[in-house]
Amino acid sequence: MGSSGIKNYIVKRVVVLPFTFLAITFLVFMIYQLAPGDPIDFVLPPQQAMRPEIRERAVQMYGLDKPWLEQYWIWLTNFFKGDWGYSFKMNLPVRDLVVEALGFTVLLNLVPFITVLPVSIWLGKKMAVKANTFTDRTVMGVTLMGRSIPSLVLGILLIWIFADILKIFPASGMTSRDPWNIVVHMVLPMIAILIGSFAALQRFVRATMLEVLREDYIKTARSKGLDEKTVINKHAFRNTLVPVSTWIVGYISTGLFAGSFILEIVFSWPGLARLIVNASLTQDIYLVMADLVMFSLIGFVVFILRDIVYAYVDPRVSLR
Amino acid sequence: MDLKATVAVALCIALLVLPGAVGTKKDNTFRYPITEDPGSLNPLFSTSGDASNVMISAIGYDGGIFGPLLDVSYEGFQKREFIPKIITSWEFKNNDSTIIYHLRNDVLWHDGVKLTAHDIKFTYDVITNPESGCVQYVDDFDTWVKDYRVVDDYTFEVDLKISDPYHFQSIYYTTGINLLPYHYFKDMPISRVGFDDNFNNKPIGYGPYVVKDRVVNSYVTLERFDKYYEKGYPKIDRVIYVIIPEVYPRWVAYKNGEIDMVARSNLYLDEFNQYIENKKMTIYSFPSRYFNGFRINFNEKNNPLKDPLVRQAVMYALDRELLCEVVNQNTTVPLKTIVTNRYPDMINPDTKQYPYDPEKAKSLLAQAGYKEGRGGYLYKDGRRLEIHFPYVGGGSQDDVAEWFNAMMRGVGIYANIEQIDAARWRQLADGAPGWDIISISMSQDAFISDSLDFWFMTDGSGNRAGYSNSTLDSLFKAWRDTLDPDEQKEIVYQIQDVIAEDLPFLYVQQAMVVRGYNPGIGPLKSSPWGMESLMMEYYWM
Repeated sequence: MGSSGIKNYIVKRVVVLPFTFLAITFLVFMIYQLAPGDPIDFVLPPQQAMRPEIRERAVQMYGLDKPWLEQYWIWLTNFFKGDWGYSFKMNLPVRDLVVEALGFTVLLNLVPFITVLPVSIWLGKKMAVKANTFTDRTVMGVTLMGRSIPSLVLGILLIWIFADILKIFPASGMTSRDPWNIVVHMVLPMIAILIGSFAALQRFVRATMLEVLREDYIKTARSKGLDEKTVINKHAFRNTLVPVSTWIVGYISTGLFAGSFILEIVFSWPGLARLIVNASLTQDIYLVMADLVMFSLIGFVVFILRDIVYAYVDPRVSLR
Repeated sequence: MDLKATVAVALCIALLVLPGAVGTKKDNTFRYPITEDPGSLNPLFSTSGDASNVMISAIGYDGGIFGPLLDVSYEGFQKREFIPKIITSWEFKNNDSTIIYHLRNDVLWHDGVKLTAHDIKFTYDVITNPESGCVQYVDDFDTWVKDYRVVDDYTFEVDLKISDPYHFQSIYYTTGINLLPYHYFKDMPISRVGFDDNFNNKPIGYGPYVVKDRVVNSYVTLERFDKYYEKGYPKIDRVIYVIIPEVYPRWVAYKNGEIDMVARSNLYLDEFNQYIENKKMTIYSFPSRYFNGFRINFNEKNNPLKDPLVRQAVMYALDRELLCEVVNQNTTVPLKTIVTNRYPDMINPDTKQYPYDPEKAKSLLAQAGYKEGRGGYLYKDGRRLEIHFPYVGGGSQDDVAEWFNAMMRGVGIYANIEQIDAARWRQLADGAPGWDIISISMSQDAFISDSLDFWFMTDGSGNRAGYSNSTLDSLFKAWRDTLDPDEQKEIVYQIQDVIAEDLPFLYVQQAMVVRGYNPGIGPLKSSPWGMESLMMEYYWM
């Protein structure tokens, strides 16, 4: 596919982006209006929350006295000016909160993102070739466990083993910006993310590779007398990469972020997940909106990337 | 090297090198766990509940980032004594309707500027001006403050709406605030004072500690302010508030020396007790300001609890000792009256008691006209005696609901327990229909009647359950009309009697704050301000 095709594709997608953005943010804003409860109830201490005159002060302070459509419009126009609003619950600027938290989420996911790809692809390929052997069954068993254990349980399990029993890693979150302090506190949540992602990707690569190995063209290659190494690496593995590449971009990007949600809470990691969970529980709408925009943008970029990668690795696919 | 060997070597290296990562150096730092980020550290706009109280108010009273203008003696509120802090002396004039405060002249803000009466005036302006959006202290100021002015840099006057011959409540309500720096905000519209990002993140205070660093949802580090006005204090160089939301990691963090204090939890009760026995922990236990029980919906048309006999019967049917002992593992104590154990001198010893007595409950229900019918339940006019009890599931609330169900069943009442989510509960607590009884937590402050009239006065702002009792209304009004401590005590005694008889709220238990401290810390002692002030004792010792 030519570069003009990709350009056209990206342009088309980018043109749709503002409409998608508007639709998502409007929908979320509207849903929040329909939800029971009132964010101001979470702002004020319980007793003061019920005093009308005091409550009114807080309502006005946060602009909640205006009709919700006007509130949405104010939020929207301010958002594009770089003012993402103020968190009701924390009384801090949303943009600062989200940007800092995003940095910590990316930091936590970076190492798993980089390491999980080569290892799981290599092992997936290896196990497909050795399918149904003792080693393959063992690896399958281990990855099945990794895939099945919920993040929460895995996180607690890791704390129990490495912090409570072995006392190798800390159980609490970071306590300074010192790089060593950050690294030490990152290890356990990172291991938990790695286990989940690695298991998923390794199993997917193995399954795809096994399917490819059953294809007629592999039999043809073998019957032509090609050596097994060439058949596996040149014919089978390359074709495995087509579905795997798209899956990787989609799953690793969104899956890693989603997987770290619970882990950030268990390991007291100050990432986006902690923010969004707290914000949702306390109806901190501007914080929720900003988090949502962040995740939508990440999703948007990831899906464009996935389509482009797909078009590159499979010449039969064209981007329109 | 093959894979197995590589893994083995990596593990060995990790086991040898990494244990140093756990635990903390003893570097004159106190590591204090909190469960949520305190959010804004602007003392007038802090919105984050407990964590924020720790950061500003509770520490503030004994001196944290900010601090009180006066302190209350540790002997408690009964003595009604103030200890000079930033305010060194005070006098009353105009028939006790004006207070003149004299300030120290050597108090510095963290940026080196002197603290003056202009800072007090500015803080009063923010509290009293609705445009600021400030909700803290507004109620107290509405009640007490008529006018105020700066006399000179170190003298400030407050005109009171109510004259105060006993010189306690007026001082308490007009000085129990944390100040904002006028020099920092003077060019800013008052509506923006709550929205200053820099100040909210790292405020300029005048207390013994300066905010050194913070990562939201992770930690806040305070360091000693070298120019603090009380020379030689604080004794501790650094305090790190470590935010650990989950219970189990918090306990492991304590065991590993990552934090210096941990609250008792049922999750690790046995191990916690072992730590105390083995002297690996010093325990401190105090009644908290929070108590809970069951609130009754008087708006609900068919609520059988609108009958006071049924309310009394339910109270007798509740085995509160058992609830505290079994469900809450002695982390709570049963309440004798509506007044909590924080104020033992104010508890009326003669108020009617409700020991667990199912037979008495049954006889009261018979007196109310209920007779045993199908299924062993009680009926009146063909209608089963049924109490709808929605509750928020999770934790001990599930156990409380089950126990409630069993206890009611024991006297022939059908408890219709329904698990709901927190948002729905909030709606119900705010007065939405669809419940007979809900479990609710309340807090009690120094002036007990002020905490109760909110809930139980006919026009009380928190009284969304439709309760009305003219005797109680009169007592609350009488309490407001007098400032005589002895008269107030007598009225609080009577309030307890009326509430015990009429039971608009079935008081059950009071939470005990039980905390284990690193044994190297202390000595600690209680203060009338509550548990958090314990930590400050550690600072000062």
